[in-house]
Amino acid sequence: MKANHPTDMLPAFALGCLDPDENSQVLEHLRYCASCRAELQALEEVSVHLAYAVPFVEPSETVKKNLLATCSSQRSFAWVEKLFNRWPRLVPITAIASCVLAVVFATSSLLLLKNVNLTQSVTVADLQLVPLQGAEAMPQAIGQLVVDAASGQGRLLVNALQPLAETLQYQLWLIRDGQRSSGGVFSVSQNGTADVLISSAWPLAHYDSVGITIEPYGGSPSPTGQKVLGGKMLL
Amino acid sequence: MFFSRQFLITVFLGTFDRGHKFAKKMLDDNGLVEQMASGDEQALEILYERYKGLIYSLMLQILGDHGQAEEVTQDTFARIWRQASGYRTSRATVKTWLVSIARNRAIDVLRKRRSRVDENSAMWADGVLETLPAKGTPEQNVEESDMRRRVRTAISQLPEEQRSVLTLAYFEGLSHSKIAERLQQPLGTVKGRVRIAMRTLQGKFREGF
Ligand SMILES: [Zn+2]
Repeated sequence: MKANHPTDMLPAFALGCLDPDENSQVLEHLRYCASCRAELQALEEVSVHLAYAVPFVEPSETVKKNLLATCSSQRSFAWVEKLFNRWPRLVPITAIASCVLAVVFATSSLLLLKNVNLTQSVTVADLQLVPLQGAEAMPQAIGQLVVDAASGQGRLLVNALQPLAETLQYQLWLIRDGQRSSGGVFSVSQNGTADVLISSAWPLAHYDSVGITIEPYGGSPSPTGQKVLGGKMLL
Repeated sequence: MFFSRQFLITVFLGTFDRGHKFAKKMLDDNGLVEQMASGDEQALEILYERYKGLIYSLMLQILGDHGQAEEVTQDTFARIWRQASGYRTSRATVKTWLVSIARNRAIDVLRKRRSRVDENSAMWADGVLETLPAKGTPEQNVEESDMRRRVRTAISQLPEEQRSVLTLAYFEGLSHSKIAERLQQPLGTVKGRVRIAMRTLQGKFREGF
């Protein structure tokens, strides 16, 4: 069934220049076609090689200094990371699910805070929680943003997302007034879970909603694939 | 005592630290990302030194502005740092991962800005003129400048009409239909040129690398 493979579109896909409808067509095909995924991987290498063809310039030393400073400061956020790295192991999946369900039915977020307190015996007064719900494509998926009110930084926890083919990743979109910026890309474990530190230029309260879509590995400049999870911020 | 205790400890730790860093420099990209996943900032620094020129040069070509290019370069490595634990070696090389994150971010910035800061449009380096990266091991430098030379030669050998669609797609992130509009060419022609250019380069890189 060679005729059904979007072979002609793969070079443009690797370059990121397909128009949206063709792009989603290819994305959909890649989900189940291993031979096109292998083909794409080779073409992506071509796209990376092109980066060697521009005039060579070195960045100033400030970039490195700022980079290392930023990354060190992110380690001070490590306690939240530790807590939530432990979380999936400490709390049975059903408990996580019930927390999220509680949000759906709760009239205030207070109830959720209580629930989390019950299951975790930690203080979460400074953390704000945003429930995410599975979209039509993956109704079983659930997720939650955990936002540190003081720093405006946050983590994304997801569960029951379908593991994707190796050429694809999930991408988080932070949305304000219809403008979408990437909050990071991630893959999920075999169980469909992931725990991701969100990249954001602004404190998360700046955004009004979030969404997660399926994108080519490494992510896209703007959403191109199917939406699988979404939620309103209300921070 | 001849040396103070504090002095000896400092010297010991200094040697220890340098020794470690030296050993880490021997790590390949995957090894560095693994170290980064466990919070090792030195590994990040080494990876940054390895690819800062590649990423920054590309950002500067796409954005045409030093400040923004530096910002996106920094942001790209910061993302790699944050996402190191989610990296899977089976999928893409670290280099592919870096370049795709950087290019996506830059094109995103470009789209939001709608136009480049300077008036010169992005371009490929001259196939003959060579600017050598200054640092890194000698082998790395030879390998890298060889790579630059081959890629530039391959691109300069493409017919002009293929090179121009490639430029608009790669540096400006334009889609097929936007390129067709810009160049006032039929959509099918543009699609064909992108496809042939990429396949030609693929063939050449496969022979040469
Ligand atoms: Zn296929």
